[in-house]
Amino acid sequence: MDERKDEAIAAAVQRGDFDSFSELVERYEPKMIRYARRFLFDNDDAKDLVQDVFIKAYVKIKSFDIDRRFSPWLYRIAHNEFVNALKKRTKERGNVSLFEFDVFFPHLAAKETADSRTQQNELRAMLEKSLNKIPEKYKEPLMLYYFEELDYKEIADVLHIPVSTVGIRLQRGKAMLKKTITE
Amino acid sequence: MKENIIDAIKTGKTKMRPRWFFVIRTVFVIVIVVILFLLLLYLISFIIFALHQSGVWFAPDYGLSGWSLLLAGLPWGLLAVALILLILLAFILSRYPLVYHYPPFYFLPAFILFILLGSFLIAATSFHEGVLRYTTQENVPVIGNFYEFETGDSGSIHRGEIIAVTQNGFLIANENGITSTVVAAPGVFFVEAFHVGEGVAVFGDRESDGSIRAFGVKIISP
Repeated sequence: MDERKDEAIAAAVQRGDFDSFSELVERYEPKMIRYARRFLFDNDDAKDLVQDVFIKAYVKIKSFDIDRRFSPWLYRIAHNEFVNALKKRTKERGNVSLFEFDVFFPHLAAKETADSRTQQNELRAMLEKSLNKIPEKYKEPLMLYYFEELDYKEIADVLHIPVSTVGIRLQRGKAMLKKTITE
Repeated sequence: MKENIIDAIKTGKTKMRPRWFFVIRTVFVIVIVVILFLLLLYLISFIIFALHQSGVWFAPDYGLSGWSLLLAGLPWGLLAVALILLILLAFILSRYPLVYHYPPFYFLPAFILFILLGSFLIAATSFHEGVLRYTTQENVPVIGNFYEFETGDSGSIHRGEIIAVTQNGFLIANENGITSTVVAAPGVFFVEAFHVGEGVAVFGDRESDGSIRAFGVKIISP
């Protein structure tokens, strides 16, 4: 039997079938914990935060447009939750700067390019090893692209940055990653 | 985790917000955006209209000293308010994909250009003139004060209505009925181009005898 799509499950939850929400939690719990842990949260913190993410997603589920993909919507909630938690923890803005030049003027033409499957697997392996050596602003797009398999536009929707900036950060992130491996 | 979440939902500790909550929120944001947008158009078009009324708008036609007159005559307070409204509007809009998908480097100039074009269009209509006429006739408070422009002298700009044309200039009377003789420096302007009854802004300094040695004149209300 075909597995129900996330969007169909979300639509069922919107109609009041809240048991279906557990299906979404089951599907996304490991991904969300992985995402949280890459934000430098330890396992316990990550679990607490992810629980908050799901609670927020449930509260806001009626604002979800079922004609769009569910995962970028959920990752946006998670991104906000994790950034706020980081801010609280550090009591400062941390790596979240008000002005980013590559957001204001992404001057390189960074179009979406498809890496081959082998390349993708290589990059994923590299990411697993060296992700923490990369600055935060390059780390998140790389995570969302290679592990969560979101496209440029979806990453732009999660991070609220221009699509071209996503391309540039992925390009630079990949270059940094390769450099850290060769060093 | 799944059990905790489902428990929270089943016990009613966690409740789904109704759709109308999001609809009202969206409508509220749209209303705020529309109000800010209209306010911005009104304010900038008003600044353009006020600068025309005071004659300051035309000052740069007369070189460097004209530019300094323009800088001194700009309503900096209103411009600051307009800038705050613009930042606020851009900040609200930046939450929406139509805006954040594009770099601010392209979006901001396009947005400012759009606001300026709209403001120039409004300033070119008789809208502000109509409001000015209405507020003057009806003595409307607050808005009426807003439309009270400088009608006398301010620095090197002198405003008034031509009451007589002379051989080398003309006589103007300001709103308080004070008359001044305007003398044209040779080759600066042709007196034939001006007629009695026209409202003018005269650019020039007063001589010791009280006359104005004009280096430029612009008709501000025919």
